[in-house]
Amino acid sequence: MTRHLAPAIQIDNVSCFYGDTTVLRDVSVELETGSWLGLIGPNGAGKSSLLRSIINLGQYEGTMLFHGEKLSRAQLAKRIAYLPQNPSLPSGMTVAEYVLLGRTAHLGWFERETQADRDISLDSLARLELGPFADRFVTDLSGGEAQRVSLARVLAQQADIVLLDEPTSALDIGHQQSVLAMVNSLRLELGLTVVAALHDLTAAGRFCDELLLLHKGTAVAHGSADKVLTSKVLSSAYETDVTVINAPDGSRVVLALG
Amino acid sequence: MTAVGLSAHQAAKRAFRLSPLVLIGSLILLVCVAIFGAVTGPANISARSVVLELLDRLPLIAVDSGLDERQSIILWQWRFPRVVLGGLVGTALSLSGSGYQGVFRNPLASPFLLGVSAGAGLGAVIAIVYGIDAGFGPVDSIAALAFLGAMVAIVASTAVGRSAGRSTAILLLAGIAVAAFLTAVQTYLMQRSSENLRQVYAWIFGSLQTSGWTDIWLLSPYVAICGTVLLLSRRQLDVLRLGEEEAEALGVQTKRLRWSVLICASLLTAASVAVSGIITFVGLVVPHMVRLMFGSSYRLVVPLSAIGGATFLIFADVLARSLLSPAELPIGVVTAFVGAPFFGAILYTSRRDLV
Repeated sequence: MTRHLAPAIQIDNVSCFYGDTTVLRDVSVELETGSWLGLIGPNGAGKSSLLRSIINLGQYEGTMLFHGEKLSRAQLAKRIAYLPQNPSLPSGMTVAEYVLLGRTAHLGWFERETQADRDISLDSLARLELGPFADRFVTDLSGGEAQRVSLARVLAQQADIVLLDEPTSALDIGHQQSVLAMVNSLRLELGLTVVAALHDLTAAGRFCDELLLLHKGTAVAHGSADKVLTSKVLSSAYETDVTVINAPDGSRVVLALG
Repeated sequence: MTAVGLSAHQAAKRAFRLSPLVLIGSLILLVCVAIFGAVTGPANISARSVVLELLDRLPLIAVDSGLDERQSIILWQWRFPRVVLGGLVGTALSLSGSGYQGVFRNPLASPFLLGVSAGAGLGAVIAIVYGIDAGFGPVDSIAALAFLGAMVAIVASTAVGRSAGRSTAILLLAGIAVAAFLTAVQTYLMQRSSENLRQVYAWIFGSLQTSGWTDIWLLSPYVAICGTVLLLSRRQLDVLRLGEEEAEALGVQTKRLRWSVLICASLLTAASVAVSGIITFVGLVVPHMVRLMFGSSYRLVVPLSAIGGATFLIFADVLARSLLSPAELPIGVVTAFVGAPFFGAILYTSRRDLV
């Protein structure tokens, strides 16, 4: 029972290191199942380091619990999906093959995919409307299509926690919106817990339940968009004049005018 | 709606799958080339006799191949061992090349270009020149020192390449520098010990000249064990194509994978160098041909390189034996004749991806 009551992610006093350098100090945050945490902050603030530490790719100290449990490396790969900023797209690999790689952590002895694995990846392709692309090479896709294919791989992993590092950095504003909307609808439909590093503060405010603002390796603000996306807090963290406008729909539009 | 078009189903079904037709076809080609290899030579032995002679050796089958005793000895003591050795060396080098290419995520990585062949060659020369002769079974001193040399070379190439950056071109330049240095040391040792010079030269340029089955017993355990490890690693090598971090996040233990593949690939190179000298370009050309013809997944590249490598080298040996008959070309010359232009063609077609 504790599993359902415990937060999906519990980060307690975590410090992250890159070699001898401390890139993030004493971050603590809890995230309920099914919610979306946006990591925001200037370049080098430690957003990617925190994401990488959650999946145990980076060096860190402190406690990370998932639904109240510590997870081994093998369990992490089953329960947490991670999409880096620029996912590699190997030449000569088809979309269907790429998405099937999402099943890696679930394969048994001899690592042969079962029909069930193939069906799951097919379903992920269908959810992201990628059926007609299945036989295309991943290197032949546009930026927006490639990002959808990466998300399909994440879905095929059937993890309940999804970590996204700047998922929209290479996209135009139309595709940025559609990718974030897609992540949001998948989250709501499948009950995923999402942690995403985002540069677009307006979008972060619209889509995330909670924001964590990192600056020079420390957490400087945490909470709802109303609390974090204020001119004062952002101007100080980004070291420039930031204006926040309340849009008619209640969301916040963040502009840098400095 | 989750309706998926037929093409998506087919693509998902075909993803990473090695078609049985391709597998059977490549095995049939290998058998045909092997029979061709056994038929080729000054003594006239027909393909029919070769097949019957082989059938006769199977349990519960007794057929008359029509060969006299002299022909039978030629077949069993000279031709078959040579064909089998060619096949094993071709398999070993091609498997080794496909392993390096997977681990370095670099289509041009191969035992020759990474300096591994040169390292193995130096190790073997040290064993020959200093007359180090100890060992047990398939682990004789030449093979052991060749492996040591191969590992030194691969570690040196990787370290030099890493220190200068992570691009494909830099790794290969590092490999070429390491190879040049190790070859220089090897030449120095060979010149110093002139009494062994002829023996070492005859071996270093690559030859499948063998009588009897000794070299085959030496090589086959390496091919069996390391080949199995590489075959079992082929799916993980596909995941590694996503890069180290993404592969780790998907649950692959990349360090373990990297070391097990590197050790097996180096053992395969070392063992084949120990029995047949330095035969260039096989480890580069064969996996590439497989990629061009059947696709780039390691689930196809590894097994088909093993089969294709054997076919390629047996055929190259037939050419080596027949082009200047009765004189014999070193087989390394034949593989370089095919490999060097092929290498040029790869560089030309993939020039944008390499740097």
